[in-house]
Amino acid sequence: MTLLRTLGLVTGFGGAALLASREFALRGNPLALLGVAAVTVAAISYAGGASVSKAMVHGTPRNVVAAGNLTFGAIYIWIFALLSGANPALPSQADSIIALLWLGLLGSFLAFVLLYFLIAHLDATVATMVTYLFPVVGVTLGVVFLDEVLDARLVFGTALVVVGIVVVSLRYDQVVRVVTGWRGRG
Amino acid sequence: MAQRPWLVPAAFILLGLIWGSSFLWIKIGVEEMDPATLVAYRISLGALAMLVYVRLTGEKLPRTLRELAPMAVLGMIATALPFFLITWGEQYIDSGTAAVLN
Repeated sequence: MTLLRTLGLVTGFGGAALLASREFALRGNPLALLGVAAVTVAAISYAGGASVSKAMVHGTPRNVVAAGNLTFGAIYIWIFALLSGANPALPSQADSIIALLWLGLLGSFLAFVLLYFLIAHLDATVATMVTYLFPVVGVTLGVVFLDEVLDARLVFGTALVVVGIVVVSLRYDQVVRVVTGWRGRG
Repeated sequence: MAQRPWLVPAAFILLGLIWGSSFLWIKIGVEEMDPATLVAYRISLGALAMLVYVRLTGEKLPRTLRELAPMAVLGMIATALPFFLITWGEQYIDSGTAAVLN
């Protein structure tokens, strides 16, 4: 199983590399590679957060954890923003304002409420499978609203990343049980 | 839940749409705002809404170090750091690519 998971990891990274090469080819800007690296590190950071959550959080209601998590996060990022000299001005353009409200109220609040609702009514692993919707939704919106290009490299790169993630995170013991159960009934 | 079995799949799809679309909105927001500023305002708004929600649902805010410590850690590795990295990164890559890599 470890071999399979390693292959999955390699496949996923292969997909990421393909996407990185596509971004660089589209823009000719080496920062695009850093951009890909940044988003990949973010995903790893999220995964670390999930492990920390499992290991360190005992008994505190999820909504309270989210509130505390977001509050500390806000403190950290404001410190960073002000120290790094970022312009603290609120946006003036309508689409930026909508973006801010959407990200803050829906993405960083309602989304948590929905996630905890799902975890309460589904297996937590199944609930986190919502992340498989991201590529479909994200790419479609980018193509439709931002004129982003839908090309073979994007499709292949996406496929490799998704397959890699599925192979790495699949619960093989559950799969074996399900398959054995089918065979037994057949 | 037996009377409204559609609620769970509906919530699943809605969550996918909300989170899936955040990459689009980040791309739009980062055209006008510095990445750190966008992330700071967005997390602050979310934190405020969540704090109000917690109070309205009658739950108690934590006071012990044991409860606060994981939140302090998560605030960095599950929120501030990844949100900033994604927002910064989206200045240089397609929002669709960011969505896939996440």
